[in-house]
Amino acid sequence: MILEIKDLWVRVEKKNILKGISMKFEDSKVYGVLGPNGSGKTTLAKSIIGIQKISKGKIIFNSKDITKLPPEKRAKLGIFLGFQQIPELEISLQSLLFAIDGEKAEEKINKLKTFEEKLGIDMKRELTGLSGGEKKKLEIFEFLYMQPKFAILDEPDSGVDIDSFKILVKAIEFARKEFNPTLVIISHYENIFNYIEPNFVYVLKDGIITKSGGKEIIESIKRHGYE
Amino acid sequence: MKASKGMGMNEEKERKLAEKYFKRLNFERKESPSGYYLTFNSLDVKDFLKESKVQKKPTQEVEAQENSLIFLDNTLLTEEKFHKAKKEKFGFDFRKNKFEAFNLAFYKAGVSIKINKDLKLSFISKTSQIVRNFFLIENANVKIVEFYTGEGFSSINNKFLIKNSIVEHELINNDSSKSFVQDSFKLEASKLTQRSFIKARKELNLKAFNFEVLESDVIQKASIINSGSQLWVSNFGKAVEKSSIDISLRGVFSNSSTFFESFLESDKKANGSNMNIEIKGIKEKNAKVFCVPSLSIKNKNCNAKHSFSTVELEKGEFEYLKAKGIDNKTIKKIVKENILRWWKL
Repeated sequence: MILEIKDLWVRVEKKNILKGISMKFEDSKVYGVLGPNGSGKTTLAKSIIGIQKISKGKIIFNSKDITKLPPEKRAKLGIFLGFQQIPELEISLQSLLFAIDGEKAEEKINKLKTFEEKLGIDMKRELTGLSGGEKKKLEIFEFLYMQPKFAILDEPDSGVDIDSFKILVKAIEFARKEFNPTLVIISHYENIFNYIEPNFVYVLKDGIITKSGGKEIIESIKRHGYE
Repeated sequence: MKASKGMGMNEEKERKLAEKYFKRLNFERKESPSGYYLTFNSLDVKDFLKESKVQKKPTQEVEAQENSLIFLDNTLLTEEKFHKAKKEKFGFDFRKNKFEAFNLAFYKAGVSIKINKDLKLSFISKTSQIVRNFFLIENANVKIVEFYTGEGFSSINNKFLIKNSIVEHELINNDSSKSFVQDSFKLEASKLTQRSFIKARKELNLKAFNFEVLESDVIQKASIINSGSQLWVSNFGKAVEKSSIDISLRGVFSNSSTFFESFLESDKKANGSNMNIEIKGIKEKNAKVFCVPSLSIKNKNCNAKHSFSTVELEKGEFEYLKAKGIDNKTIKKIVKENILRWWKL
C-alpha cells in the first residue's frame, strides 16, 4: 500500500467538510473518486498534499506518517496534486520547474518536448490569464514532468474540449507506461473513466464515503446518479 | 526669500547644489546664480520659523482658473466641514476643481511637482509622512496648508525656489515638538549599495526621503539595486508635444525600506502630451511602501493620471507552489526574479 487515510476530519468555517473518512491506495493502481459538487473531493485532495488543515486523522505514505509534513516535503516524497483551480501566478512554468530542480529541469523538459508541443505549453509565458483548458494542460504537463509516485488529478477533464481531452488521456497513458504512478482521478463526470479504467472507485457525498468498490459503481452512478 | 541655513550647509554650497539640480531638470539657467534658492530641511522646526519670517510678500489668493492647481488631501475631500471652511477661506469649492481626481491618486502616493511660471498652486493637506517636493520657478505662487495629525511633522521634504516665487506655508494644529529633520540625500548610482543606502538613511534619520541619482546614464541600470532592501529608482524620458507616455512599474516590496521613485520630466513644449503612470507591487507581510511619483505639469493641456496599488502575496499562490515542492524562500525568490525579468533587467 502506498497511501492510507485514517479517520480524516476537516472542518472549515464551523462546518465539517470531511467526516471521518478512511481510504486505502495501492501501488500503481488507478482510483476514481466521484461525488457531486460540494461533496468534499477537492478538500480531500488538498488534505493529502497538505495545503488543507485537517482537524483529525492520519495520512500514511509509504508507511510514514506525513500528517504534519508541509506540502513541499510531501511533494518531494512523490505526492502530486494536479489542481482544479490554479491561481494567477506572475511566474513562468520554466521558472517554476527550475525552482524545483535547478539546472536538471532543462534536461527533463527536453524529454517531454513532444507533450510540450501537443499540449501547447509555452514555457516562458507567465501563468496568468490562462483559459480553463490551458490550466488543465499545464497541470498534466507538470504531472508528466514530476513523475510522482502518487498523483491526484482533480477534475482533469472539466473545461477541456474533445481534442484536448484526447491529448490528456494520451498523456496519462504515457505516464502509466513511463513511471506507473498510483493515480487518483477526481471527477463528477464518469466520462473520463471510459478512457482510463479505474481499479477501484470511491464515492464521496457530504463528506463521507458512501460507496466503494469496482468500476461497476460508475455504471450505477451513470444510471441512478449519486442517490 | 533667502535660503535656509538650518542644516549646517553654507549658502554657497546650497546654491551650487540647487544649480546642479535645476540644470538636470532643464530649468533655464539664469545669469545671476543668486537667482536660485534652495532650501533643504525647510521644515525643521527652526527653519520653519525662519522661513515664516521671510514670507514678506503676501500670497495671492488662489483663484479657480485653468492655470490654477489645487492639490487636496483625499481625507479632506471627504470632510464636508472642512470643505465648507475652505470654501469660505479660499472662495471656491475644491471639489469642482478639474484636478480633483488627480489629487486623490497623488495624495495617496506622494507627489512631486514642478510648477511653471504663472501657474498657481494650492496644496492642502492634513496627512503626514507623504513625500513631496516643490520645484518652483520664477513667479510661481504656492500656498501650502498643512494639518498635522499624530506626531505632527511636515510632509514637505524639499522646496526648490527661484527668485520671485512665493510660498506661503500655513501650519495648523502642530501638536507636537517632535518634528524632525527630513532631508534629501544624493548618492552616485554606480556607488550605490544596500549598505550605503542604509547608512545614509540612518545618518539622516529619515522616515521619508528623496533620492537622486547624479549620473543620469546610470539610472536605468540602477533601477533595481537589490532585492533585499529594495530601492527603485527610475528615470523616464521627456514628454514632447502631443506625445503619450504610458509607464507601468512593478515591484516586490519586501521590507520597510522598500522605495519607489519615478521621475517624469516634461518638456517645455509638452502641450497636449499624455502621461499615464501605473505602479503595481506585490507586498509581503509587514512591508511598508513609499511611492514618489514625480510629475511636471507644464501646460494646461497636459493630461496625466497615476495609480498605485500593492497586494500581498496571496495564500493561494503560496499553496500552489508549495504543493509543487517549492519552499517559501524559493517561492519569494522566483516571484521577484520574474518581476525583474518583466522589467527586462
